[in-house]
Amino acid sequence: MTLGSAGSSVVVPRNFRLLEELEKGEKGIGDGTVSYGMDDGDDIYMRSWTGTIIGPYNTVHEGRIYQLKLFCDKDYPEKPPTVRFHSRINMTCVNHETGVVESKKFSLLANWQRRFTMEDILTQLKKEMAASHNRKLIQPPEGTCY
Amino acid sequence: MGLSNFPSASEGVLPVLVINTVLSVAVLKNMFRSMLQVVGGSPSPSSGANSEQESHESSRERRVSITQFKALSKDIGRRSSGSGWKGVTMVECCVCLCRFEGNEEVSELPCKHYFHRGCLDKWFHNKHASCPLCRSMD
Amino acid sequence: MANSNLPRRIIKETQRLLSEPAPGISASPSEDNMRYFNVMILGPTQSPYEGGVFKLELFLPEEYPMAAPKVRFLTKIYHPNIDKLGRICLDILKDKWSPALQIRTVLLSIQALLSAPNPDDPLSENIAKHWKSNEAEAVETAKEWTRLYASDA
Repeated sequence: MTLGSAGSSVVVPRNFRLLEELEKGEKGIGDGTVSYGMDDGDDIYMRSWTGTIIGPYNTVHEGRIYQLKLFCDKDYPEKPPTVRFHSRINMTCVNHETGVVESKKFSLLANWQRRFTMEDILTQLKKEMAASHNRKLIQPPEGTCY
Repeated sequence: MGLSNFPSASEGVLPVLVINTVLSVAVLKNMFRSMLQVVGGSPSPSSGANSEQESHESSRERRVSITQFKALSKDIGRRSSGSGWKGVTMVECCVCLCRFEGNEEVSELPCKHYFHRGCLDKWFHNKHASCPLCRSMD
Repeated sequence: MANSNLPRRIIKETQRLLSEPAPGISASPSEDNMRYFNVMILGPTQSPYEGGVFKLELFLPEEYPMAAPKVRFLTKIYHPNIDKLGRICLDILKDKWSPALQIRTVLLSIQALLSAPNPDDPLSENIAKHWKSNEAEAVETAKEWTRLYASDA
């Protein structure tokens, strides 16, 4: 009799993992300040996703709504998705020209582990917005996109 | 970008441990209760001294008789020689697909379907109360 | 790594699936994950899916057999109980699961669902509406999709 999942060797394959994430995203996460959903309901491989982050309190981002694009390739979740801001933002880990979140400057992506999810990415980016090196940066006009 | 960037990583471990503990406690509890049933021969769970979680669980309590497989097979033979009972001997537990061995403990439900004791306990601990074979809830 | 500690039940089921496959169904575990199966189901005769070969994927979660396998269609299919992502509305995959069921019985049930679509318990609202308002036309669409998407798997 084996109990529990600590040190479990069960690997949830990509597609079933993404279905789990889809269902969780549909139900809604926590306080609703981060959310995500699938872009193309017809794509059986569930590659393109849109994430939303509401800027955290007591920062320059407060009240702003940021849209991001996440792309989960065939090798997800062994490899992280590519993450790109659609809404313009000034943040140390975001490329100024493209909006791409640079994994070298965002440790969750740099140190990616299979069990991390898109929710983790969005939640962590929200925390990053409130970090001392980001919370007071001058921001582009609200509502502009890359 | 220090450790603070990994809340999901470190937070992830604790709930798992908690769940494991809860599971183990639940299993132990059930083993204890099953033993009580064998000794007392009574279908009702022990009452009074236990927590409200216990009484909550008891709503799903099933009448299970636990015997060794060899004793049960003899009993089934006896039942089928008399009138009325259908004596079907299953050689394999449908939950684990393994053969019943003579000295293994088997749990028999009122619908006369039986399983390895551990296999049925696992099913009941997954918040189910029906017979795996016929779904009867008696 | 993913295959260590594989429960005996899963090993037995796999062996039996491979040695005595059910008619019109094949299921083989993936090499790097013995809980993940590539599945093919032939469209049942006298159904709109006849002649089609439907690809599915099946995964045995950690709790299996205390929890149901997870299954979905990879081949596009026009059926009121199957959605765009191939997810299947079938009671034994949800609250009617029992550990006495097996991969084989699940796949046979899915095959039976292809023969007997149930528009009263739909997963795809639009397809179910179509089925109820004009069954002959819906069946034609299902046949068309079978030709388009399931004929050369």
